[in-house]
Amino acid sequence: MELKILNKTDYEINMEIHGEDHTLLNVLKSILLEDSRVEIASYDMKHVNVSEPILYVKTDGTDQVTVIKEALSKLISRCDEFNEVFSEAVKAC
Amino acid sequence: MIPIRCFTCGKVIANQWHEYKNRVEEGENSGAVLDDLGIKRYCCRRMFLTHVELVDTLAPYQ
Amino acid sequence: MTMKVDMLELSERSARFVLSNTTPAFANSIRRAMLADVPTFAIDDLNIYNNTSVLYDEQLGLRLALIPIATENIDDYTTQDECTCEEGCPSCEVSITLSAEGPKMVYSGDLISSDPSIQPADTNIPIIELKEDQRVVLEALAHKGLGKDNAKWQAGVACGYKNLPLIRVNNCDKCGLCVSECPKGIIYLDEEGAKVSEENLVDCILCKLCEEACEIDAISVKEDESSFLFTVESDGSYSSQQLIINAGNTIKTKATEMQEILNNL
Repeated sequence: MELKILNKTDYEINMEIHGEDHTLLNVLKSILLEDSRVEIASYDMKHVNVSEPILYVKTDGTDQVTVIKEALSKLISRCDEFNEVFSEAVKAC
Repeated sequence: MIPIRCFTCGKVIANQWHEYKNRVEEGENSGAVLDDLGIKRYCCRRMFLTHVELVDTLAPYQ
Repeated sequence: MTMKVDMLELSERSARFVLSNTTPAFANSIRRAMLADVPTFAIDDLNIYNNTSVLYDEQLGLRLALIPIATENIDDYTTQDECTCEEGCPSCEVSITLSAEGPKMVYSGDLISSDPSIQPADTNIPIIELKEDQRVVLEALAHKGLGKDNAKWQAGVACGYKNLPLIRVNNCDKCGLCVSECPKGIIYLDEEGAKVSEENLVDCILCKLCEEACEIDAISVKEDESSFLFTVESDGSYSSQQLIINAGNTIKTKATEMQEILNNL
């Protein structure tokens, strides 16, 4: 995975994420939108063979990279929660 | 030869071909045999129903 | 709210479970990861020394590549891109040989792997039928890869989910029209009116024919946006429960990698 920041202002960031697709970006976007400091979060993929996906985040002034890192932490803890809950359900079966 | 996997979903079907063929040749209804073998999705069912075995036709031409 | 998983069926190669209290985006990511992002082993390269069978080399290669291969410890291996070797070494590839002479039917159980912990998942897959005096002698190299690169590395088979329904019945006049319309037969009548049986709720296909049939709008059917009924099947390279756990771990690995890159910016 490679990250390239295309442009960044006080409120917005445009970031190119190489080698990723909807599997990571859609769930990351939905977690970002749960954060009240985030005004707009979306990702754009023209086509897998033609260009790399771009993540766009606009906040109320909070540092966007911090907000994205917190969203990733939430995603990691949700994956852990899923694994735990699923493993317990298997044992109870 | 029967393709190893269903084209659409990727389920491995080649290992069930012999049994299907033998049972249908003995006269059982093909739909019932497929249900019995546990092949539920119609993408996998058409792989069995519409397969034409050409290996024996081509073998003399080697 | 914490997630909840209710296991409905679990067997070696398939599973059905209900995942609730989560977002559609997370359920979709798990489904995509099961199909395309969980790594497996598959035959990738062939050195053919003798092939006098009915099939061409390439046709034989395709059949060999699609055979699912089960590994006990796939994390010990790396993919070809990440391996530091130039051409292949014991940590990124496994050699599988086949040597057979007709007349016989060659099965996947005749493949001999150089690493005993890496074997074809099924031993009864017919590869090729050899007639009298026909021979196949080849060496195949198996590499680790992802389902999104080629379908031979796809671990999950037809993995999908559907939303569970929320069915509410108010002021029913017991006419029984919804009971006869339901194609799955999950509504029944008792003294208080139409009811939906709890165990059969997962069979609902959200066709809403019961809503249309009701003349007084007593029954309403909606999707529950946070409950999903997953149906998972594995091709044999993993057990179904291992596949689901690996899907969760794959998403976690991607997120962790992205976090590290952001930390180093």
